[in-house]
Amino acid sequence: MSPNPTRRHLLKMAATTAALAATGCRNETLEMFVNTRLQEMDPAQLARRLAALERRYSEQFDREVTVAGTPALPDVVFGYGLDLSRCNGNRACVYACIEENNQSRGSASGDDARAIHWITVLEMDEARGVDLDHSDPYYDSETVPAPGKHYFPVQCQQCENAPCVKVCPVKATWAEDDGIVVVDYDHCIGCRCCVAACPYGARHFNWSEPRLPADELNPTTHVLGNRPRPQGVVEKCTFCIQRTRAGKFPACHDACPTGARVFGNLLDPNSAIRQLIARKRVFIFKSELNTLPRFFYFYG
Amino acid sequence: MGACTHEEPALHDAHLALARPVAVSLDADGVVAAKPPPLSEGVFPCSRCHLGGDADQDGAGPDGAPTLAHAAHGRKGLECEDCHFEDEEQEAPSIPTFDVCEECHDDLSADSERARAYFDATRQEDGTYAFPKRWRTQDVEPAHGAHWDADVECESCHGAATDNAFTKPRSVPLMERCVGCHVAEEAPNECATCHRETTEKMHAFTLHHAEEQRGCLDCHDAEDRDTLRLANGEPVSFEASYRLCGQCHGPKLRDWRLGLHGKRSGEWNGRQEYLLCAHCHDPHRPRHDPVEPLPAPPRPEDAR
Repeated sequence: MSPNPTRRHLLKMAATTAALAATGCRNETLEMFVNTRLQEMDPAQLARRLAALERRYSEQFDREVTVAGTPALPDVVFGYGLDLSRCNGNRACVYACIEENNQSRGSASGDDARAIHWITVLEMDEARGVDLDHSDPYYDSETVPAPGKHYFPVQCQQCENAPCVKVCPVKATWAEDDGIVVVDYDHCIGCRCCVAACPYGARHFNWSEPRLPADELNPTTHVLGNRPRPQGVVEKCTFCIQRTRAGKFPACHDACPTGARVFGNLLDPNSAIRQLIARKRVFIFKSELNTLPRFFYFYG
Repeated sequence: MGACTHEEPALHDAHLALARPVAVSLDADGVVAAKPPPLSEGVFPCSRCHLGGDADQDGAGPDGAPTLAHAAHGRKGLECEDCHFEDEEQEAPSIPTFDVCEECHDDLSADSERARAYFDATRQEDGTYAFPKRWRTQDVEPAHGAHWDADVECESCHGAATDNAFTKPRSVPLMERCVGCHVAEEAPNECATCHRETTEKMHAFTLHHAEEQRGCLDCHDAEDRDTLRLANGEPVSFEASYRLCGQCHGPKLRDWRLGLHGKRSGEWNGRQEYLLCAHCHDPHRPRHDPVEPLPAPPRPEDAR
């Protein structure tokens, strides 16, 4: 009777590991090999992992890439506001996001339809208000706003009660202390339960090997955000974690030509986002699902 | 005043120079402290074209070049038509050629210092003289014939010739002087009546901003075209134009101060830059034109 193939595979791996260790292989390679979860790492481990990732990406893209592991700022929970009366559907946010966050421009084999967009702008009838049954993300009019239409950008709502986090079988996704829901790309097994659980269509799966030309790469990355992703993992909007934890606004906020976007710290009563919630009538998307989004829509 | 047209390309540049983001800080109430750039020399002043105030007719012009001493000529007993009309058949006054000047100024070395400076400043390389028509908006060519037909005297527009000398007000009227008379005499009062060579040239615009209720001087200061004015007459600089806009758009001004209207960039927890109303909205035509959207996302069914 032939040996169990799985068992044989496991033995082979164990032997390789032992061999790597015996030949004086760098610790970080071993750590990456056994895949410790980012959440469980001590600071020294994390620093080694970041350095290893920087080396890997710099080599892969033949240019200097930084991978930050900046933790959440104390006393900060991020909130986002979006003025639906000012959004004109020009999609500047969508493409600023793609460039900032290193989304796949299509499959490595050249299929542009595999491109990933973290922001979806829905075109809706003015007469119907916010009505998903009559919305169109593929609108293609020559100019916007088209007569009788209004626009509804959707991205990750950074829910306080996030269904995507609950369904993950391997705890590869979680909410950080500043409210940002992140994915550990090294630990995601690609089961796509979270994609199915998210009521906002905000999670995206790398069905194919991503295509990210080196000259289009944003080399300033965060380990939980816009670092290049492999095939087979889920990714999502992180409120530009690499920017916002460094004090900057998210890329979509800066790109919006109509100034429809408001961003700030929900714990700071003087922040624009708190002023927004205090003074405007805001609503959250699909409030009946009790997901408690930190993304607030309003009509300015 | 209805539709207003404008052909001055330099004003366009001034607007562009103003359209830079402005550094501000937030005070404890979340209110922005406005610190926009001054209307520096690099910015084209409106008064270059739209004269206002009480400029010295016999002093230096706005570009620093000397101007003709009209009053000195008047004191010598000269009449307007002595220099500005070659003969009685001429229908409109003209800028005289040097031949006319030479009738009196036949020996420049014997002239006053002021006269010599003026000739020096206007002498061209080929020895001729180019006397600038400095004191007028460049697109206004008054129909002198029509004014004479209406029995309007020279002095009505160009100043009282007391003691046969030009005195203030200036020898070329401010626009509101024209408008005041046109209104009183029920003469045609459309902008295009005087500002004729407008629409074909450069940056022509039409006022589409509550034009039924409002006109140019509801926002622009008649006396000083480098400033704006509130409804109560208080002058306001272009840098603080949001105060002017806020007279009608109060809730928007409140939202803008809080960061809920308009665009801010910089740091969410630190230094921010904001844009003034006029950076995004053309104040003469505030509604935005439709724009071309960026490409739609791919459809999943198109994936291979």
